[in-house]
Amino acid sequence: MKGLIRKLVIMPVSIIILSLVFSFVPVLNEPGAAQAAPWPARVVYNVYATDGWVTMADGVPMYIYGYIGGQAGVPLTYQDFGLNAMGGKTVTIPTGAPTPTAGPITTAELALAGKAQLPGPIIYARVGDIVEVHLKNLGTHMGTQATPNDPHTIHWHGVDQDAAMDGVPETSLAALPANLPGNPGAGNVIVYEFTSSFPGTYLYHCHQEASIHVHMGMYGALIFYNPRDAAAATGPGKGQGGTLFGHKYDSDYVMLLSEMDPNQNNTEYNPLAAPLVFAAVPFNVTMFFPTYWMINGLSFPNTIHAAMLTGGGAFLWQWWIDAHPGYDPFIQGSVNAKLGRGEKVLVRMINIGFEAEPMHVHGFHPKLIGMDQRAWTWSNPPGITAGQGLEMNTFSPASGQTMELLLDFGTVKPTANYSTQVYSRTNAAGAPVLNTDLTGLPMPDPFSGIVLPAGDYIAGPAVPTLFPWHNHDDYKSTNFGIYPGGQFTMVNVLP
Amino acid sequence: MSGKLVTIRTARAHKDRKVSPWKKHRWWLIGGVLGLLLLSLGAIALANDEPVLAEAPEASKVLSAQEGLNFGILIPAYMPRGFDREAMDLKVSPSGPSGEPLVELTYRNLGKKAAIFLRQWVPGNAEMETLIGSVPIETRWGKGYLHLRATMASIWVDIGQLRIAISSPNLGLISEEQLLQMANTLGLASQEQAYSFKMEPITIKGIAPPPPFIVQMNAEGVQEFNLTITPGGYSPMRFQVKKGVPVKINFRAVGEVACGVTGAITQPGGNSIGIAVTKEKPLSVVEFTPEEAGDWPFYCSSNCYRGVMTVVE
Repeated sequence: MKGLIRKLVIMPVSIIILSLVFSFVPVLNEPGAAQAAPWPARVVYNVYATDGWVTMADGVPMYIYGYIGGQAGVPLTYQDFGLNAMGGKTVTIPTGAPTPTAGPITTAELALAGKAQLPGPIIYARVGDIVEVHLKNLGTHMGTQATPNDPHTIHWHGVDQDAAMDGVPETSLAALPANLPGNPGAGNVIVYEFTSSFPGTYLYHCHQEASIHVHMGMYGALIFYNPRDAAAATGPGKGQGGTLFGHKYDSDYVMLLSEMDPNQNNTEYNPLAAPLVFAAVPFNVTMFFPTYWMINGLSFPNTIHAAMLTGGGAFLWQWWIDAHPGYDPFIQGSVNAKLGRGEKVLVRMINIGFEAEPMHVHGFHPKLIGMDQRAWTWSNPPGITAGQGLEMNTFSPASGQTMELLLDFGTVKPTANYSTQVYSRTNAAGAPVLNTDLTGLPMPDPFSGIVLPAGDYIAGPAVPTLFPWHNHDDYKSTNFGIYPGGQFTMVNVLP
Repeated sequence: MSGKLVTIRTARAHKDRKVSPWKKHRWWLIGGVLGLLLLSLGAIALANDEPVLAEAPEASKVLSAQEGLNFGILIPAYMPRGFDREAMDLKVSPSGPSGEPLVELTYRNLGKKAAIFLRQWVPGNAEMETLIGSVPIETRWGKGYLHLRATMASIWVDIGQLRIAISSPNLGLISEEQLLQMANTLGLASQEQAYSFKMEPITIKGIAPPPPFIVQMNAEGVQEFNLTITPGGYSPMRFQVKKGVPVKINFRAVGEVACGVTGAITQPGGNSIGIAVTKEKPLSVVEFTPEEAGDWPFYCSSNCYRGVMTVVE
């Protein structure tokens, strides 16, 4: 009888316990097979602070301060706008951004002077990795004689660390312009080293005269992935998945919100210039009067890859996306393609503007799973009955806040049908359209009303359902008052 | 089925009654053998702690990467236990501004999922490259820098022209003292270099900041000196004056210093003494007599630039 008990109870139990032990050990400790790079690792970024130009969606050139650079050894592509944003073509440095050298500007560094990109490069790593960022200030090159040549820093927003590493010049030190040779300290290189044990969405920005420099464009996204996330090898926007706060996702996007008051930019470019619109003279930021609202540095319709303009003409979407990897604001997901379920898309919303932005999405109720690098209290992963998360259609991050929103493409359809009772549509030739299905018809550009040729902004000739995701302070869905524009993008539902 | 098992056991039990000396003392014997085994393992482990005069296991990897470099790659003689020297990763990247090489060695402890990184390069201007948030410490090679943040530690040392950064994200598994010991035992892989897991007792000693500039009295009995604000800050940043003796500061600005053109010296518990220059008035003369001993900090108008005036009796 004892033998029977041993055989029937103890053996299976011990087998179960042993197999549990052996199955959990790799789960807890081993990075996944998809993760090529060993963990932990050191991730080095070379970043330069400088000035430059960009073009607003309505073609107005804008003087900015910003960052340029990227991960060491990874080819760097940037858009060269030149003076007054008359260009926009890309330049590639195959060996990546050079390692900053303390002192005067070197020949290799000079190529990047005056080429600030908006926003700054996405910096990403895995929790536990050491992120090492070398910052050099190349100074202003695209301004006038009166343009200030200020020190710059990088503040790692959301990474809790002491004052010295915090990137606040008043409590630590700043990178001084390298184009003022002969001045003590000019061209110093600051090496920031930090890590985090909290996965999630962070941001970084300059903290020197933050009211000016942040507004001028000195910001970017910072992401810490979990070590096993496939997306940790590529960064966001590359169709790779991962897990955050217990929720699995198939791809992730960055939605970095900011706005611009051209008077600020105009004043930095030339302090003697007259204001462009109602503003104090000299410019006082408490008279903040933004006219451009941006997602990842773009306003609609540029957000859906359409109508890229410069002061000198049009430039290609491909140029922009090559220079801003991971920042594509046109969110796409599939209802069931290969998975047999809707894709789950994680949107990393960051607000670095001065105002709270009520971002309203049509067709979805994304689930808020985290805010400010911490799991959202009531957002338990599926399987736990209590607290399935806060599902809303309008999210209003305040300045400095980040949110992780999970979109379930299993809740939408890739088709759209009019009521069979109504035959009110005509095709491009003016003939009535009898079918009720929107699918398959060319898409008129909501900006110009012109029927756009098939392109990647409508994902080919079979137009799937597009859902706007826009700022519901609707005046912020304009470019200087012209609707639609501003913080306005689309969610593209693929079959 | 169960009956059969029981039968076999019973038969065994009968057999055991004939007690042989082996059976009687087997546990002692087995225990003794195991004990000996453990002791010898311990002895091997202890022997491994002692420096071994031989080529380090990673030396051949280092030597083959050495060709074409303008400096010798350094490896530490001391390595915390569990880190695999043989499986060390070596990466040479031409990431310098003119394609200068930068060498990165990665040692891993696969069991503990920990890593130590050694980065080596020749900085163009070592003094102006700052590991932000670090404190100066004493190392075998002179002044080094220690940076501790959360679970991460880094040490920078300069050996001749070469700068070596040793860092690990795994404080708790590795101590900063161990990293310092690694820094202190750096040497060329090309020699027969001693290597070990043994660590000498070591403490980390900070380096005090340099003494303040002592202001001298001029012929008129006034403590007169030049204070300059540059984009790099105040020069001198720290200075010392005598209490009760008039002070005359010739304040100038060099370069674009934005907020640095106006500032204030704050008397402890007293009023501030303003200092300011403008484009029209590039030299500003400030005269006062300090009447209270102690540290008088001074700041620019937005607190970017700082310094300290020390008033002594």
